[in-house]
Amino acid sequence: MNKLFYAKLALTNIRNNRKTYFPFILASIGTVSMYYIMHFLSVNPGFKRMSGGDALITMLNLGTDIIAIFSFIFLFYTNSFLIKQRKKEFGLFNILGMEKKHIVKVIFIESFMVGIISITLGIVSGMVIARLMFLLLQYILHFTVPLTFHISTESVVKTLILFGVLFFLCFLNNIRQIHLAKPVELLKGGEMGEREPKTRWLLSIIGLGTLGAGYYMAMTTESPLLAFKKFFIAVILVIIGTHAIYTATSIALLKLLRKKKTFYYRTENFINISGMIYRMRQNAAGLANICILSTMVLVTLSTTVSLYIGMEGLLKNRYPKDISVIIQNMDRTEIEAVTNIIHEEAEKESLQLENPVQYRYHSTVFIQKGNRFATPNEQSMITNLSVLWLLPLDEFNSLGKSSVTLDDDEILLHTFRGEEITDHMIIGDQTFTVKENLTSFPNIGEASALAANVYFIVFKDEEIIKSLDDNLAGLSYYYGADVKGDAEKEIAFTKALSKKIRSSYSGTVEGLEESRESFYSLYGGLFFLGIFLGFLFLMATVLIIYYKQISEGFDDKKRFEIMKKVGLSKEEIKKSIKSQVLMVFFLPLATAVVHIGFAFKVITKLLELFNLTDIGLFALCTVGTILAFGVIYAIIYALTAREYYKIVSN
Amino acid sequence: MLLEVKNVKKVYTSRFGTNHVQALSNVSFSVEKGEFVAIMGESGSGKTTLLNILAALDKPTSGSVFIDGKDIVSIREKEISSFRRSHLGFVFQDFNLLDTFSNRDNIFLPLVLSRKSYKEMNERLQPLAEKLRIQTILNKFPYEISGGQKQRVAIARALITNPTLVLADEPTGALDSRASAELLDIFTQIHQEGQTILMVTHSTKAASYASRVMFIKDGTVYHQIYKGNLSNEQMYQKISDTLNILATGGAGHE
Repeated sequence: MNKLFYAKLALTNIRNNRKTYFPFILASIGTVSMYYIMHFLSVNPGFKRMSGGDALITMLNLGTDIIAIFSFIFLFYTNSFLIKQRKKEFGLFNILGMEKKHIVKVIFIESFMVGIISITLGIVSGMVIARLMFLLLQYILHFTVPLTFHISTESVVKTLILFGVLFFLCFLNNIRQIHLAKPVELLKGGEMGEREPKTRWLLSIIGLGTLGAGYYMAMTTESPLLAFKKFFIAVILVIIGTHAIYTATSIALLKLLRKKKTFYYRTENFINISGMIYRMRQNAAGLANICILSTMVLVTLSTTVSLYIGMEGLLKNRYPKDISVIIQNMDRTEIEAVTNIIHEEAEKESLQLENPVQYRYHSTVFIQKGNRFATPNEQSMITNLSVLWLLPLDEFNSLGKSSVTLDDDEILLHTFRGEEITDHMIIGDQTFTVKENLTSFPNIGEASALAANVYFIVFKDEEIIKSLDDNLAGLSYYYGADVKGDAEKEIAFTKALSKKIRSSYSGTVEGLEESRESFYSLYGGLFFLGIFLGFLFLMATVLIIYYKQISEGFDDKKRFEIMKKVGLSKEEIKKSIKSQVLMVFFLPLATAVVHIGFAFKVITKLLELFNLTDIGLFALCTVGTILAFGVIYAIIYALTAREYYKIVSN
Repeated sequence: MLLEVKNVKKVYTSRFGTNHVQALSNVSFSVEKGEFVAIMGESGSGKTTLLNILAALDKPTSGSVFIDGKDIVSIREKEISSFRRSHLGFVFQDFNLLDTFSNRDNIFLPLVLSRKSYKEMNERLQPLAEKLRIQTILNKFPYEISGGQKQRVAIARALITNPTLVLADEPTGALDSRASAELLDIFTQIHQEGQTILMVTHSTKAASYASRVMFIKDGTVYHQIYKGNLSNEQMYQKISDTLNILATGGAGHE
C-alpha cells in the first residue's frame, strides 16, 4: 500500500463525516481565534497607560486563561464524542483486515489535518478580527491607544503551542479508545446501554431540597454585604440542585406520570413520556451542564452590560459632586482657609465651582444588632458592621436650609442601606428617640462606596456626638461642588488640589472626571470580557446540543421506523419529534431563566455594591440578554431540528 | 376475497432515471379469509418488495391491491396509517420491539395510536396474553427477555387490533429451532381460530405449517401448492421437492 493511501482514506473519512466534523472544525477555528485575540489584546502595552490599566490587563489575562482552560475541556469533550460516533466505522476497517496500527495511522493523519486546518485558519482569522476587537475595546473603554504592533509573535507562538498540545492529546485519546476496544465492540459502537433508568427517590428529594434552599437564600438576602457570601452558597446549592433534578427528579416525575394510566395512554403522552425517560437518562448530566452554562452566560452578560450602560448613573451615585474634599479632624475655624485653597486652584485652571456643599460630620463603625449599636471589638463579625454618619443639627440645617429643632435625646434618621429603624436607637449606652425618618439626605457622597449598612443620624449638637465615641478628637469636614468647564482641566485641577491638601492636612480629594477613566477601564473591561466569554460559552452550548441531537437522531431513526410500521402517521412522527427536540433544547434555557428569576433580587443587591442602583436598567438588560440569547438559540434549534428530521425520516 | 393482488409491477428507478431495476414484473394472486399462506423465494426474488406493497409502506409502479375490498394503492396518504392500524398486524424477523417501552406498552402501542381507552386495551390484552403465555413478562422490558418471548410479544402486538390480515416477514429468522417450532404452533393455533395470515419465509420448515405455499421467482408467482390434508412432514417433503425442481431450473436456492 502506498503512503498516499492513508492520506486519501483520512480525507475521505473527514468528508464522509462532515456533518459532525464540519461543526467541530468550525468550533476549533473559533476557539483558536478567540484565544489569539484575547492574548493579543492582553500583551498590547498601550492599555497600561490608562488609569486602572493594570486591572484591565489582569482582566484580559484572566480572560486568556479562561479561554485556554475552557477550550481544553470543550474541544476534548466534543472530540471524544466524535470518536465514539465513529467506533463502528473503525470496527469495520478492523474486520476488513486493517490492523490497529494502520487505523492509528489513519487517525493520526485525520487529527493532523483537522489540527492544521483549525490552528491555521484560527490564527489567520484571529489576526484579522484582533484589530477589529482592538478598536471595539478602545470604543468601550473611551480611551484611545495607538496600535503598537499588528501581529504579536508571542501570541502566535502561544496559540500554536497550546492548541498543538490540545490536538495531540485529542489524538492520543482517540487511539486509546480504539486500542481499548475489541472489534465486536467497535462494531456495536453507540448501541450500548439503553436500559431503563432506575428511580432514585433520595436524590430526587435532595435535588428539590437544595434547589429550594438556594432559591430561598437568594430571595431573602437583604444586606449587600451578606449577599456576597450568600450568593456563592446559593449558587453552589442551585448547581447541585439542578444536577439532581435533571438526573433524578425528572425521571421520577416522568415515571409518576407513566403510572397515571388514563393520562399516559394517550397517543402524544405515550410516545413523549417514554421518549423523554430514555432521553433524560442519556442526557441529564449534559443538559444540566448546559443549563448552568447558560445561566452563567446570561448572568455575566446582563450584569456587565448593565454596569456598562449604567456607568454614568453609577458614577453620579458614587460621586454626587464633581469634586469632593474630605479632611479629618478639622476645626470650624479652618474652613475659610481650606475653601480659599479650593477656589485658588479652581481659578488656576479657570474653572467655575457651582452649588457648593459643606458640612462637618463624624463617621464611625458600630456593631449592629437590631436597633442596638455597640463599639466594635476584635471578635466582631464583619457582617454585622454598620457605618453611622453623625451630624450636628446646625450643620444639617444649614445644609438643607431647614430649621428643625431637636431635644438632647432626639435624632433625625436616614437609612441609606439596611433595616429601617423607626422608634428608638440605642448607641453605646445612650437611647435616642427617632423624631423623624428622613426619606432622603442632601449629600450621600462617599457612603455609597461602602458595602456595609449605612445610617445618617442628626443629633442636637456636637457634644452628644463626641460623647458617643471616646476616640473622637474632632469632626471631619466635607466640601463638594459641581465644576463647570473642560474635563481635561477638571482632572488637572483635581490632581493639583489633591497635592496641595495632602501637604498640609490629613485629607483626600476625589474628582468625578479623574475617576471616570478608571471606572471605564474596570467596568468596560468587564463588559468586554463578558461579551467575549459569553460568545464562547454560547458557541459551546450550541455545539454540544447539536451533537446530542444528531447522535440521537441515529438512535431514534429505528424507533420511528418501527412506529411507522405499527401505524404512526408521518404527521404524528413529525409532531412527536418536534415536541421532544423542543423539550430537550429549551428545557435548559427555561430552567436557566427560572434560575435568573430567583437570582434577580440578590444580583441587584450585589450590583448595589458596584453603585448600580437602577433596578429598571438591570431588569431591561436581563430581559434583553435573555431575548438575544433566545433568538440565537432558536436559530440553532431550527437548523438542528431540520438535520434531525432528515436523519430520522430518511 | 380478503386480499386480491392484480398485475402488480414494481420498478425501482435511480434518481436521474438512468437505471431501472425490476423487482416485481407481474404478480397476481388472492387470499381467502381464514387462509394461512406462505410465500417462498430466494433473496432478491421480490418477496420483501411485495410485502412492503401489501403493508402500504411502498407503492407499486402499476397494478392494484385490494384488502377487504379497499384499494390500498389509491388510498390517501392520511388514511394509510389508520388503515394499517385497523386492518393489518405485523410480525417481523427482528421483532421490532421498542426498548423504551415495557412489553405491555409495546403491545398497547397500536391501540394507543388508535386512541382506545385503557380499559378496552386491558380487556383485549388479558385473553391474548394467556394464549401466548406472556402474562409473567408483561411488566418486563424487551431487553430482559429471550428471542422466543420477544416474538410472542410481537405477535400479541400484531393481534391486539383484531386485524383482518397478519403479515409476517421471516418470523422464525432470528429464532432457534425450539422457539421456531413454538412460534409456528402459535401461528397454526390462531389460524385454526380463523385468523388470516400471510407469511414470507425462506424456511421450508416454517412454510410447511401453511395451508398454501406460493413460490416467487424473478418477480412473479411461479408456482403454488396446497397442503390439503397433508401432515406437516408430508408438506415439508412436498415443498422440498418443489424447491429442488425450481433450483434445477435456475440458480440454486439458499
